[in-house]
Amino acid sequence: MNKREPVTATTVAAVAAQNAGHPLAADRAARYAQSLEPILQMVAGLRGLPLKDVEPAVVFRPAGAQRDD
Amino acid sequence: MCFVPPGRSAMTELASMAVSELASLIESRRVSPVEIAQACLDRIAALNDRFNAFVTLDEAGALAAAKAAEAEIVRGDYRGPLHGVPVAHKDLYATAGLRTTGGSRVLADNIPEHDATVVARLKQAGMVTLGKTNTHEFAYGPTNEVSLFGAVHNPWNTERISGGSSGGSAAAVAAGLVPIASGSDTGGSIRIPSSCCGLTGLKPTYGRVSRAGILPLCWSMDHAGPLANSALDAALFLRAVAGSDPRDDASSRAPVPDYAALLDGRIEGLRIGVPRKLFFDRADNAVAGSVDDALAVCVELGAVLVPVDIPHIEQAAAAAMVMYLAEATAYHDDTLDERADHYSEQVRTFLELGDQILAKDYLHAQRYRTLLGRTLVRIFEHVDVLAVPATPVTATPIGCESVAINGVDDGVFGALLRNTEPFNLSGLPAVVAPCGFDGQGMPISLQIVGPAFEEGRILNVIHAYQSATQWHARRPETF
Repeated sequence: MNKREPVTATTVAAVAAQNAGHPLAADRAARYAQSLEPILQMVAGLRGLPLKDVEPAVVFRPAGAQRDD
Repeated sequence: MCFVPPGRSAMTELASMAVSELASLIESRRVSPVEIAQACLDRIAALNDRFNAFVTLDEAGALAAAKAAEAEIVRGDYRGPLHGVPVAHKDLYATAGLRTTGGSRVLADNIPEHDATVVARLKQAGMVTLGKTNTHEFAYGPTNEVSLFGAVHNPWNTERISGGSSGGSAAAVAAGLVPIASGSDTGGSIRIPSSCCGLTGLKPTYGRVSRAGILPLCWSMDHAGPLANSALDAALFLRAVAGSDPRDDASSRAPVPDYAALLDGRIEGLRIGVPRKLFFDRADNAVAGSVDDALAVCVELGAVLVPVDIPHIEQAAAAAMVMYLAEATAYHDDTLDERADHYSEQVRTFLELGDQILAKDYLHAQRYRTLLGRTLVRIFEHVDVLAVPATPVTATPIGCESVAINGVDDGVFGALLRNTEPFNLSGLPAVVAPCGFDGQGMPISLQIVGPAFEEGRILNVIHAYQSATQWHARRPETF
């Protein structure tokens, strides 16, 4: 499993402004960092699952293709 | 032949009757759809302020539809068991010409031009739309405390949450304001409020019921279904709304059976899988005890209990969280950009947190869904249904963010969602029904889960249970 450092308000603010295009005020970024850290700890459990040969549940289907129910 | 007017006492009882009972009265012309609609409207006028269940009423439209239904039935054009029966729709469902807000200031003045497919199909079946019911803002929460219209109050105790996000529908049916209502379920939003308010709530298989015209929360986990007084009523609703819809790419072409006809109440030899880990182990003792009592009733009826284990089930909450955060934020991206301050603080926070989710984690969550789905398919080779508590706790006090479960503090949101969201991830059908009450008089519910498209099977388990017990017939003191 890859190693992750605890998320900070600076990171949250940077992602929001530079990646997502939704800049945040500093106080929001600080609050969101506190909320995000436990979420990312939960997500770390997903990264550790035995998923090597498992494809995502959402699979591309060409438009107009017949569904097999 | 005309309808025979009921007496005054009968009028007061109409609003609280089950759909199946009303259908019998209407078909035999002992009660008119107009009298039923008026009885519901009178009860809403008298009681809705206590519960904040309805947020928009269409009194004129309802009475006009009821009169039309009456005329059709009198001339012999009876459409079936929903004809002339009132219904309410969660304020997430588009209703042509009738305000649809999603419980948000963002859509405070939104009046759709077209009905959601479910709304249209129920109209086609002859149902009478009374109005719209409160929802947690954009269905993004399981408590129904956050809405443009304020919190919904539980009819069993108005200081408790209704559960959500279809909380207005749950409170309306539980309080006898309407006999059945629609809801949507992304992590448990039909089953959680049904559990909190003592109702039978059905989340069908993903794709069984069209989502067209229902405001999305999370496209790949959104389901539509009923909140009802019994498995039979839920079956009648499902038959009318299920089936392929060109407006919904996820809708299934699987044939739609007559679900009510499948309810024979026989469960001899039925193998009920019981996964203790997570579902029972982290439930309040009173809840787990009542569900065990319900399973004992099923055993008396001839069912067999089979212990099962669902590997990695403890990761379901993380996967569901990633799904909500990523998909909801994508849906609201433009509006959030332009009018972030129109959202409640809570929902704005969820949406802005969604910006922080990595694409790879969204895909890990989708891979988990594949893993969970394969696991459940294997389990259903050995059992016919699964049984777990619907929610690990009963309805919590409004305003509480944490709840003690057997002495251990837990977040209310996470606890409410824990036992339902795995079956949104898997897309499998699940139904909840009341099976007892806790020491504070709040309903406790059992959840039955089945293989894909086996709604008839899971509804029949609940029908058998409801034929042997009377928990579903209990009503709060508003009656």
